[in-house]
Amino acid sequence: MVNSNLRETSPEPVRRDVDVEADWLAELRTVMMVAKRELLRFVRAPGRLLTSLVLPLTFLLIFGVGLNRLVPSSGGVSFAQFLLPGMIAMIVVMAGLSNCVLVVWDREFGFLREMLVAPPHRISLVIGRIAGGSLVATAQGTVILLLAPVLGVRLDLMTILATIAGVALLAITGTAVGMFLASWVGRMESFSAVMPLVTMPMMFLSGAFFPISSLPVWLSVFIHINPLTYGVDILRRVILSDHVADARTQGEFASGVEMFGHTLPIAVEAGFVAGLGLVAMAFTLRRFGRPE
Amino acid sequence: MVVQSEPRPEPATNNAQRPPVIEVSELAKRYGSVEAVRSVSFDVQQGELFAFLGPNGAGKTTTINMLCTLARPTAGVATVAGFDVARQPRLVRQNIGLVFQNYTLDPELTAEENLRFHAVLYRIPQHELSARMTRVLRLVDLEERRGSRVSTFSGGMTRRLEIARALLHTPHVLFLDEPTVGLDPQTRSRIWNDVLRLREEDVTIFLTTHYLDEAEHADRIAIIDNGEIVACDTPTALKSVVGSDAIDLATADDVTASETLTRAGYDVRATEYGLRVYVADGERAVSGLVSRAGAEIQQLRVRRPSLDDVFMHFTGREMRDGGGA
Repeated sequence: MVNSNLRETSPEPVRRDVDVEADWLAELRTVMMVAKRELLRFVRAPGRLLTSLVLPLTFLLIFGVGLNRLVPSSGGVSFAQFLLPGMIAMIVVMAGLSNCVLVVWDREFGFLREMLVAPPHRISLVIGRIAGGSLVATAQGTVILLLAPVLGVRLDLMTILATIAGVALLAITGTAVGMFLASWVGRMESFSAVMPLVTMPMMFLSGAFFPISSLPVWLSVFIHINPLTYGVDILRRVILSDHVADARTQGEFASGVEMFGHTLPIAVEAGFVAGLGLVAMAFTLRRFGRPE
Repeated sequence: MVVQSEPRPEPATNNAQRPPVIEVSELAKRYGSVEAVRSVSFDVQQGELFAFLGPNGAGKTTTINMLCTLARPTAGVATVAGFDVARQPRLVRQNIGLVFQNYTLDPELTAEENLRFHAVLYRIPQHELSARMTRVLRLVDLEERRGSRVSTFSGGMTRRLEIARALLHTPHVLFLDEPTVGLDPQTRSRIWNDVLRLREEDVTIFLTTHYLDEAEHADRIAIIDNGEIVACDTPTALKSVVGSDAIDLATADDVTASETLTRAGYDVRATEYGLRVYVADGERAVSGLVSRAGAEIQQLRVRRPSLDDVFMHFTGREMRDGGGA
């Protein structure tokens, strides 16, 4: 079979001699395309969304509903309500981290090569992946928010928007850290094996499951260096804002992380989380940046 | 492998006046203490089909990686389409297309979505996209499957789609790294026909392979062994260097036969299956060879020189993984 019309229709090569260095619009389109692919992958694998919801839903059911009768309310907040923000924070960060197995997938199955050998800056690829991955993780976390009315948590529009903003911040940082880890690991089995080592301690030492005030020092140290602690606290203060009039009436479920005797303002906590995300992104870029 | 080789098209006129599209000068790559590539130099002309032939581990993939800006040379200079691979990598990338040994498509996306992704990476203008996609898909006969997920494709179809994708932005140079490895003979033949048809497009093709029968189609071949180029010329010229026919022998006692024949003045080499003797005229030499062998000859075959002989001539060894002829 010979296509005799090939020579006539052979198109001009695409922009061969144009200096593509300053082409920021093309870079932006690359970011969007990479992000779009992440969304497509998520939408085409509904199983992943469902699986990711199982763990936090289970926790909410077992601890929230089951233990609710054992643990007394405090300061107008029931145990189930206390748990909700932690569960959201947990799923968002874990989703951000573990979704990065897809990056390792790409490396193992080759698609990463296609992206690395193409003209765009590595920066665009990393930002695109983080953007897409964050959107996915944000969606996964926001779904749990739908349980709020079931647990009697009152939300108004401002609170919802603020929650989504907090969730997005956690999603970005979680994805950035996940990408950093993924850039070190070559095979999916290794990544899946390393994940629990990171996520389990993060989860249980974050104040998601129990109040962190007045704990022994050695435990307290771990909790304070765990970034998820600040994420949980941000969300808790936002989501339960309507339930908690002021610090004195919060009782056992007091929000706020103390450092050196001062309660940290939300802005500082958000700064910690954002800072970690930026550092992770910078180191990831260094890893991807150079050819061998 | 049966390949319909069309009569080679007339080389583009004024080829000598067009600058080489790839220029490599003393390129080297060292990983720690291992020298994967030690000082290779060669040129590739526009519109040429250039083959890098050598056994696995010879340095073919490392060289292609350097030319594609996936690895940085530790010494030497290389330019592709006029741009330096070390100092202007993004411009190099804009002008080349690659098909790797390993698959680099996204199996979860459709063929068309994979092409669209590529189009964004390579800055193909929106208004040209549809026509280009149709054209490359037709080239490899995959137009009906453009909406199917790549996970439903066979190995051969995947490879054809990769070739189509690599051509989407009409690159100066198409790099094919072992393009038919792992495919069955019919698919290899099919893909090879597609590659040969590309020559009508005046695309320069840089190919690495360890299949001798593929390298035969090239305009020029560079034989690489242990990180060095041991020969670089047209297939015909290379074979005439060997200059002689080859007689393959299997004897009852190869060691004795080898010694006896060597003492009698023959050029004798050992092969996997027996001995090989290079003589000026195969048919005439048979009777003399048989009488002087010094051991019972069980099998004998006369051949014209092949690239395997060329390889042996330059390296003293066989190309172990030679397929086909």
